[in-house]
This record gives sequence, C-alpha cells and structure tokens, in this order.
Amino acid sequence: MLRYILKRLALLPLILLAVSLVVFGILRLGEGDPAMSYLRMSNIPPTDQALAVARAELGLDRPLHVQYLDWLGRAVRGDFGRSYVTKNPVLDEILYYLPNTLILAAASLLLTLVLSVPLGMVAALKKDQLPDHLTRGLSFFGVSMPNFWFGFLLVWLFSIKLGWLPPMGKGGPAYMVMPVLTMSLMSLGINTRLIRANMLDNMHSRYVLYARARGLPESVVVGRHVLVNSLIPVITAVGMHVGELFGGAVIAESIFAWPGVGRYAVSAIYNRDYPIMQCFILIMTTIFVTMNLVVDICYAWLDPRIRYEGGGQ
Amino acid sequence: MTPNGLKRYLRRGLVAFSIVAVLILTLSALCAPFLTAHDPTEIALADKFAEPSRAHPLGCDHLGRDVLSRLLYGARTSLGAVAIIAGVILLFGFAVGATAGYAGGAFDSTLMRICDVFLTFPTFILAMFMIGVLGTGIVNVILAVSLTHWAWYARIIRSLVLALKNRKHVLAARVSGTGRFMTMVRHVLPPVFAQLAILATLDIGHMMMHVSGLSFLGWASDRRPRNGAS
Repeated sequence: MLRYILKRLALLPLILLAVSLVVFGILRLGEGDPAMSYLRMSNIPPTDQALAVARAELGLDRPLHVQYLDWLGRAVRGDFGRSYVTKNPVLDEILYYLPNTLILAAASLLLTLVLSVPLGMVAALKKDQLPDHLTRGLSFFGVSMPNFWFGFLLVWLFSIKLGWLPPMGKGGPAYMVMPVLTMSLMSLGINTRLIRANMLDNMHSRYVLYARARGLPESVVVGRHVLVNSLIPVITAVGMHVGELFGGAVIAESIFAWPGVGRYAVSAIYNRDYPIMQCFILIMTTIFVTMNLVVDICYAWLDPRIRYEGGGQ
Repeated sequence: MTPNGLKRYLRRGLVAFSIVAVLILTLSALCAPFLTAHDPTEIALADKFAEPSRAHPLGCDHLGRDVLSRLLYGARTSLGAVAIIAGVILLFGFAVGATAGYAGGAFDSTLMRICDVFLTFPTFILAMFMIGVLGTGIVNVILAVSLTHWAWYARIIRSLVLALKNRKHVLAARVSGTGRFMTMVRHVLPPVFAQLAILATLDIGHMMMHVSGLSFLGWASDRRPRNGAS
C-alpha cells in the first residue's frame, strides 16, 4: 500500500510539470499580445515604443524556453506576477477568493452524496416501481438541465415568487442554498444513476446469492454486502465530479454574484488579465489532480485488486 | 399487459418519442428562416416585453426582439457548433487513437501521455482558459470545447482498435496482402465507428452543455475587444 502511495506521489510533480507546459503553450498560442492588454489596462497609448518597453518589462522579448523556465521558477515559489488591473500579486487575490468557491464545491459534493446514495438505493430496491421511475426521472432532469437555466428558475421561484431566499451575494447559510443546488444538479443525476446501476449489478452477483443462501436477513445482505460494494465506484466518480463542480461554480457564482474565484476569473477573462488566468487554471488543476490522487489512494485502500493490477507495475 | 410487456412498450415509446423530439428540434433549427418572419436581432423597443401574440408566439424580450425566432436561430448556432465539435473530435480522435493503437510501442505511449495531460485538466476550466487566451467568438468556443474533449475519444478509440487489431478477420486481410492503411480503413474502423456513434450521441448533450455554458458567460458572440475599444 505504501509503495502504491509513494509511486503515485512521485508522479504528481511530473503531471503538474506537463500541465504547466500545456498552459504556457496555450498562452503563447493566443493571438492576443499580452503587452497590448497590459498597456490597455494601464491606460498607456500603445505606441511602438511603449509596446517595446512593456514587452521588456513583462519579459516577452526573450526566447521562449527562457520565458518558460523563468515563469515556472517563479510559479513554484508562488509568484504568479501581478494583476494588470489591480497591480496586486495574483496569488494573494486568488487565495482571497478561493475559500468561497471551495465552500460551495464542498457543500455541493456533500449534498450530492447525501442525496444520491439513498435515491440510488431506493431506485434499485424498487426497480420498475414508482420510486424507481421518479428517481430516474429526477436524474434524467439533472443530467439534461443546463445549470445556468436551472439557477435562473430557482431565483424566479424562491426569490421572486416566494421571497424565501436572497437572490444574490454572500451572507448566512440561506445565501448558499441556490448556488449549491445549481452546482450539484448534474452530479446528483449522474451519481444516482451510477449507484442504481451498481446496486443492480451487485444484487445479481454470486456473493449475494451465497449471503442469501446462508439465511442472512435482507437488510444485512443489502446494507452490508450490496451497498458497500456499490459505493466503491462512486469514490472514483467523486474525483470526476470535482472537475465538473469547478466548472459549475464559475456559472453559479456568475448568476448569484457569489464572491468566488470563478467569478473573479470570468472578470479576468473580460479584462484579458493573463496572470490571473494562468494562476486560476494552475491552481484549479492542481486541486483537481490532488483530489483525484486522494480518491485513487482511497480506492486502492478499499479495493485491494487495484493495488495489484493497475498501479502495481 | 404484463409488467415486462409494459416495460418494453414504455421503452419503445420513449425511444420513438426521443427520436421524434430530436428530429423536430433539428428540422426547426434548419428551417428557422421559414418558420419565423422575424429577424432574431431586430430590435423594436415598442414591443418591449410583449406578451405572446399572433405576431410573436412566444412574446418579446427586453429589447423587443422576437423570442421564438431567437430560440430557433439559437438552436441553429448551438446544434451547428456541436455538430462541428463532434466531427472535429471524432476525426482527431480517430487519427490519434487509431494510429497509436495500431502502431503501438513508443509512438503509442508518447501519444497516450499527451492525452493523459489533457485529461488532467477540469474540462470547463480549460475551455474557459482557452477562450480567455484566444478571445471570444463561436469559432473559439468550438476550438476550446474540441481541444478539451478530444483526448477522451482518442483513448477510447485506441482501446477499441487494440481489441480489434488481432481479430481473425483483420489478420486474414493482412495475410491476403491488404496494405496496413486499407486494412485499417476497411476492417478496423467501421466496427470502431459503430461503437463510437453510440457514445458520441450520449456525449453530445454534454458538449452542448459546455457550449451553452460558455455562451451564457457571454463568450460565444463575436464582440472581442478591438483596438479603440475600451
């Protein structure tokens, strides 16, 4: 087990290095000239001379590999440069907004798990009966509904018609209800379906037949054997959901004016504030990769087959 | 009716319903100019927030633009964009996945490592970043969504090709003197394509979600900052 964990940990820096290469590559692909946006944001007329000065200042006149190594060296030390707009260090600004987004993502993940486990279970146990049809309808709705539209419908219902919830901003727990619902809708739908399918698969397996043959009560068969085994693949799905939740957070934060890092990144894209965009994607990807690493380790811990097969070599 | 019969009936009914719904949507998007007399961008402030009426079956928005024609023309853009994305992804995925699977060795593992890197990003965040760098506009949205999704397909196509390439009918074709390329085109790709078509139909909804999400954030319309703009 320790070997497996160490191996995965050793790969992490390599993955992040590759990620940084892709990010840097995409940045240099862009037709937009960072020096030009820098000048525009600083309200300096873009004369040839000003452009040359800005390029030298931003280090854009050096060869590509020098730029990359320099950029990487600073990034590793937590220096992502300063925002073109506010002139503050980018990392500080991102870290200021990041907790708000993480709270939303964590709450959405929790809601997804808390709701999808019982729903998927009921659907599997009552297969082809009313509860199953209702649950499948719900998960179909969750997968098909565009999250931004669902967010607006929530605002219309709960803020305008009923007046129960504040439509935007950050404050008490009431402010979180609609963003969290908007974000978890899709993962809830996917997860419920996944749990239902896993439960049904497991229920027809031989160990369940054996458990029944031993005369175990149905509650033990389902609770201790089927459910536990059905939840293992859900752990992997959680890792994937985190990526989707970050995307959902960008949209939910834009709808509900939630002061998170997603909304901040959206405004950075409007301003063509390159340092913020870089820092944003690197931080979000790092969190995503780390989450998936934790998920993989949990998975290997719960299911010994993984340790010996996939990660073994 | 037995429960089983009912189930089958329901399923068939649902399939038929879904196909009809998709067809109606596609056709109405294609025939948009014939279905509505209004220009989706035509602003008529007198009709601001107009209720549904004969002239405007779904009413008008805050600028007095006809909602129905905006929906129809919007479907045109979204469906068109997703069709192009699916095409680009399949083509690119086929090129990478099939060559990697067929060639094997170092070439294969290099290509797969590149795929892995693209798979480590959260897709929507990467698409956002690309829009930020490339600029807004529907073409860049198509590019961003394609670039963030192709690696999934390359991987799946590779595994399908791997499973197929040592099948007897493929080996028989090779032995009887068919060239590598023609064997690929004639005997490996058709079954891969058949399996992939199912996956792609399921995934198209997901891609459309990404396209509309990016459009919602205001990045699909071509209003990129130009010199002189603030």
